Amino acid sequence: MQTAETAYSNPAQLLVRLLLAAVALVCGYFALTTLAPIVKMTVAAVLLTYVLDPMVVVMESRGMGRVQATSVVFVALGLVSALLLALIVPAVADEVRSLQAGLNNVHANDLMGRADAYVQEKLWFLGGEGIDLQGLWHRFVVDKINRLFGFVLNAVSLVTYLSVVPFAVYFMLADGRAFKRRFVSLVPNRYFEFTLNMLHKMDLLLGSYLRGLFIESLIIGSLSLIALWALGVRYYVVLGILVGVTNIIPYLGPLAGGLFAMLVALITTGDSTFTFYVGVSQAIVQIIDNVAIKPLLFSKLMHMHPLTVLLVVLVGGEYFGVFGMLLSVPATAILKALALETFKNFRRYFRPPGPDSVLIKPATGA
Amino acid sequence: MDSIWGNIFRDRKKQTDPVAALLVDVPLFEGLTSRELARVKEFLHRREYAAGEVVFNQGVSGFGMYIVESGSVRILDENSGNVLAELGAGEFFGELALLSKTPRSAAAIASVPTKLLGFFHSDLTSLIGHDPKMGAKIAMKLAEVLGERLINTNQRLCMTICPDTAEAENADG
Repeated sequence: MQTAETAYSNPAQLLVRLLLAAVALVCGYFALTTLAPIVKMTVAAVLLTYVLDPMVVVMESRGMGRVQATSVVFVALGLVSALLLALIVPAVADEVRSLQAGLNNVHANDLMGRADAYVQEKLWFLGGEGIDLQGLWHRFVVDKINRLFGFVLNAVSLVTYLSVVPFAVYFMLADGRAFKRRFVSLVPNRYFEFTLNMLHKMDLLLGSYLRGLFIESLIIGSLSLIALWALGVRYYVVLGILVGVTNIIPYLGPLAGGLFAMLVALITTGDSTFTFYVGVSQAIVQIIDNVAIKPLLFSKLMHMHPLTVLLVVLVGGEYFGVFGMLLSVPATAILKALALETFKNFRRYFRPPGPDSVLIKPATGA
Repeated sequence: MDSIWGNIFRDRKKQTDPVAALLVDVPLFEGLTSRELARVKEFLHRREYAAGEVVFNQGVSGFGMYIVESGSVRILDENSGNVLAELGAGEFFGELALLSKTPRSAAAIASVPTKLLGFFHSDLTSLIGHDPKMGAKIAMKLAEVLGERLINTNQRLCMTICPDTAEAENADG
């Protein structure tokens, strides 16, 4: 046990600790970037754990043990997944392939060619001759969309994810509480309550945010799918799923999803009026989301200004890609809570009591 | 045959978990079944403190209570240095923090090498979610314990402020 006299009373020792902490952070960052695929699978497993945890808790409240409850939830999830795989995935995969071909068709080439000519003629001051929109579009379709949908169609990646992630999720659900207790048991007594409180706040923030996001994406994806189906848009299933998935990224996601749906409508039909209706339908879905769904699910969960949210999403995306954009908001909220809690209790946790304090010289007793 | 007979009628008391035996005597967990006590045990945090080590400081936000498993804890007022209580095995302190994160009204220091079992607000909240019936039992007992302490404190205050009235009431009672 470190006595109050030695704890942080030596500036050199404090400096060494700070340096070690900085080195640990840098090593952690390099480890994250080097082991990115494993980190992504771990993050995916953690996200799924947060989403499935309430179902396990419901089973536990019925009198089941944690392991039994986790097993029941997994069996149920397995049956639902098998049903989805058998019924929906083949149709979606076909639609994806068709969409890829559709985006590279005569309509698309014609549209890009006309856009190229317009830019070079009317917007010559932007250096239009150097912009090859047709080439950019081909690269976008071939490169970006291949990567976006390639994962679904790539059997090897899919099998890896489907075997590793559920395995990790099962044990995180069954033994998560034990892991947390084990981690907390390693924290020194001086910071024990503080750590426990912060872990609890993190759990609440992250769990509520991710579960809310999952439910919101399901609702928005379904609404979008129905709207596109009603309008008679081709590939409405894939587009509906895409709108639901991109909705998890604050502000930028819904915009990207809606614009992509409009682009697909324009390229596959060449009808600008129809494209406008598709845009209106996506706008209505977003209005429903912001007016009815978000307030219900999130309320004032994050306590962050919308501009702050946008900035952290951009920074998260810049450094950590899609996962960064997804997790940047709750991560920032957690860091903010951590900073506030540390500042509030700074004097107690980071400064030792004075030499006359009764805590230094407690009365001896039998 | 002797070994089978011995196994069937073995003394099950010898296999009682010491922590569960400790929890039975804590008023907060009074009335819980052995299954429920086993569930509570999953949420406890065992901590070890050296002699003179601070458990928590006065004025710091509190997050939960502690049960003394072994050793001794001194509760004292940091400002005056007065020792308010000395708690031994089976006793508990800090239970007000289970309800709200109010600043600790006193400091707690281990007098001798001590083992404590921590039970925190977040754990009580989780327990209520996992087992609402048991969570309600614990919450009711917590309310009873705090109510009794409030009554005792009022009586002691009354003795200090108006000893004559207090003595008269005690004589009537």
